[in-house]
Amino acid sequence: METLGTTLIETRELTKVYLRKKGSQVKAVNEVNLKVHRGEFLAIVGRSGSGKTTLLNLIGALDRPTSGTVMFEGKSLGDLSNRQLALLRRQKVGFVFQTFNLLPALTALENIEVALAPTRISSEERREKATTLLDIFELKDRADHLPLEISVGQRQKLAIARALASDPILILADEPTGEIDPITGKEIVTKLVELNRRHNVTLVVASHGTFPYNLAKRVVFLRDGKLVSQEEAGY
Amino acid sequence: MIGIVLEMYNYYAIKEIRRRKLRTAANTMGYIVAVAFMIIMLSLAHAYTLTTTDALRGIGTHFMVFIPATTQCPCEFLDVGPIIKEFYTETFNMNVVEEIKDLPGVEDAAPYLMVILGNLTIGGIDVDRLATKTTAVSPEEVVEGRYLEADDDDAVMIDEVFADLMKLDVDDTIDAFDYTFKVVGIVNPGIHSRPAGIAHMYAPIRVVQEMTWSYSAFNHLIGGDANAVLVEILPEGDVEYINTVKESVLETLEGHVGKKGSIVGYGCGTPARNVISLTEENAWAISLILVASVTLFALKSQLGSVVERTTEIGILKAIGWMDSDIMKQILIESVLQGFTGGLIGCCVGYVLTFLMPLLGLISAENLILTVTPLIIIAGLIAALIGAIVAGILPAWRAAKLQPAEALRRF
Repeated sequence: METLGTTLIETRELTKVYLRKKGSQVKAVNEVNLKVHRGEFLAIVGRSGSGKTTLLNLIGALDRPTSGTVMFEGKSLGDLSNRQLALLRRQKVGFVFQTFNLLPALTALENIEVALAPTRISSEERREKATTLLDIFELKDRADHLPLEISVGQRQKLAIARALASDPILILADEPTGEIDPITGKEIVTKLVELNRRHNVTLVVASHGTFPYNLAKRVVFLRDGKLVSQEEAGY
Repeated sequence: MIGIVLEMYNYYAIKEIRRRKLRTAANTMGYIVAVAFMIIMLSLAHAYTLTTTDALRGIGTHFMVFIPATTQCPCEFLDVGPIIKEFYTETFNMNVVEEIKDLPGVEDAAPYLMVILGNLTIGGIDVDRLATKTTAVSPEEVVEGRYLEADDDDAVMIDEVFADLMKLDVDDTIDAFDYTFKVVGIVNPGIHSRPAGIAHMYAPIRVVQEMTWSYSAFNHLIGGDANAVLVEILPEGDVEYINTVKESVLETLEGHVGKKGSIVGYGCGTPARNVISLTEENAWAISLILVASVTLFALKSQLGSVVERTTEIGILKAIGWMDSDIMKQILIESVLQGFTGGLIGCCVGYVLTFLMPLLGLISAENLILTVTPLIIIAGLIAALIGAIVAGILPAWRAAKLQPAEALRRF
C-alpha cells in the first residue's frame, strides 16, 4: 500500500527542446517544476501542442530531458542507465496512450502477456494474470482477437489492462478518451478513477479537455510548455 | 530460467516471422540458394580434386634414387651388370627400401633391380606396389595380355617396341639370361614419363634377384637386392616440401651405401595439384561471396523490417523491454531464418549434387562424387554466421531507438 502524500515524482526546471530540421528550436517543455504525490490523481490540461505528451514521456522515463531533472521516488532519472530506466518502466509505470499503441500482430491476450514477457515468470503465470485482466475489463471473450478485430473502446480497455499487468504504482494516461465514443469513454474514466481511489495507484492524465479533469484531485495547466494558471491556459 | 526467457524470445520471433511471410520467404530462400549452391560447388570441386588427384598419381610426384658407379661396363667382354639409364650402379639391400618407405612425406617406396646382359635389359619389380606402378610400369600400360602377378615364376611382360622387333606375342616364350620366360603381357610404359626408363622385359623382382645370383656373369657384379628405389610422395605439400622429402630419401640411401647418389624425378604432379587446389579454393571463395551477398540482402531486409516496426519497438520499450531484449528478439528472428534456410539449403544441395549427373547437367564419368560432413557443416555455419551478421546491425539499431522517439514516428 502506497503512503498518501509523499512525493513520488518531482520535476525541477524540466526542459525539453526539439531541434527542427531547419535549425530552429522548439521548447516542448519549458522549465517545469511539478510534484506528483503518491496516490494522487493529477490532470495535466492544455491544448494540442502545449507539451503534455512530452511532459508525460519525461515523467515516465520514455525520454530524457534537455535540461532539468525528474526525481522518481527520490532518485534522479538522469542518473539511471537505459537498462535501469527500462526496469523502472517495467516495474513501476503503466502507460495508456491516446492511440492505444497495441501490437497489431498479437492477440488481446498476448498484448497483455508481452508486458510480462521480459519478467522471469512462467508462461502459465503470465497467461493466468493476462486472463484475469481481460476478465476485469470484460474482454475475456476477445482474448484471441487481434486489436484490429475489436472495437476502438475495447482497444483502449485492452491498453489499460496491459498498463496494469506489472502492478505499476504510476499510471500515465495520455488523452485516454480522446479517440473513443462518450459512453465507452465514461467506462474508461470510471476504471481509471477506480484504480486511483480503490487501489491507490498514482494517476496522471494528460488531456486537452475530452477527459473530465474535474474528477482529478489536482489540475495543472500547460501552455507552450510552461505551467500556467487556468485562465492563462484558456480553460 | 534461461528456458523461459528463450521460449519467450522464440515465441515473439516466430510470431514476427509468420507475420511477415514474404520477407521471411525471401530471406530464407536466399539462404537456401546460397547454401545449396555452396554445397554443390564445394562437392563438385572436391570430387574433381579427388578424381584428378587419383588420375594424377600416374604423372604425380615420383622419382627414383640410385647410386651411379660408372658409365664404363665393368665386364670387358659383354655389357653386363646392374644398370639405370646410362649408368652401371651400386646395389643395396632391401632394408634400405623399408627405411625410405617410413620417411615422412613418402607414400610408398619399392625396390627396383634392372640389369643388362648384352643388348637385353630386364627390370625386376615389386608388382603390387604403388611406387612401382607410378614410376616403372603399371597395369594401365598393358596393351595386350595381363600384368605380372607376385607369384609369377617364369613370366615376363615385354615392352611393346621390343615385342614388335622380336615378333613376340603373348604366350610366346623367350630365352634370356639362361632362363626361359613366358610372355604374359605386352606393355607400353612410354605412355607416361618413366623415371626408371624402359626395360625390354619386366619380371617380379624376386625372379630377377634369383636370376642374377644364379647366372655366372652377374655373380661378382651384384651383391645386393636392388639397384634403385622407386618413391611416390604423398599427394600434398608444395615444391619446397617435395624437395625436402627428396633430399631425405637421397641422404638415407647415400648413408647406407656410402657413395653419392642420384635422383631421376618427375614432378609435374605438383603444379597440377596446385592448379586443382586452386579450383577447390575458388569454389570456397565463390561460395563465400555468394553467402556474403545473401547476408547483405538479408541485412537490408532486416533493416527494413526494423524501420517498419519502429513504433512497435517503441511500444515494447515503453512497457519495459530492455535494449538487450530487443536485440535478442531481432537476432533470433534473423538466426531462425538463416538456420532454416541453411538446413533446407544443405538438403537441397545434397540432393542436387547427386541429381545433377543424373539429369545430364554434369559429366559424372569417373567422378568420385561425395558430399562430406565438413561441407555440410561449412554450409550450415556459413548460413548461421551470415544470419548473425545480417541481424546484428538491425538489432543494434532497434535496441538503440529512444522509446519516445520511436513512438513519435507513429
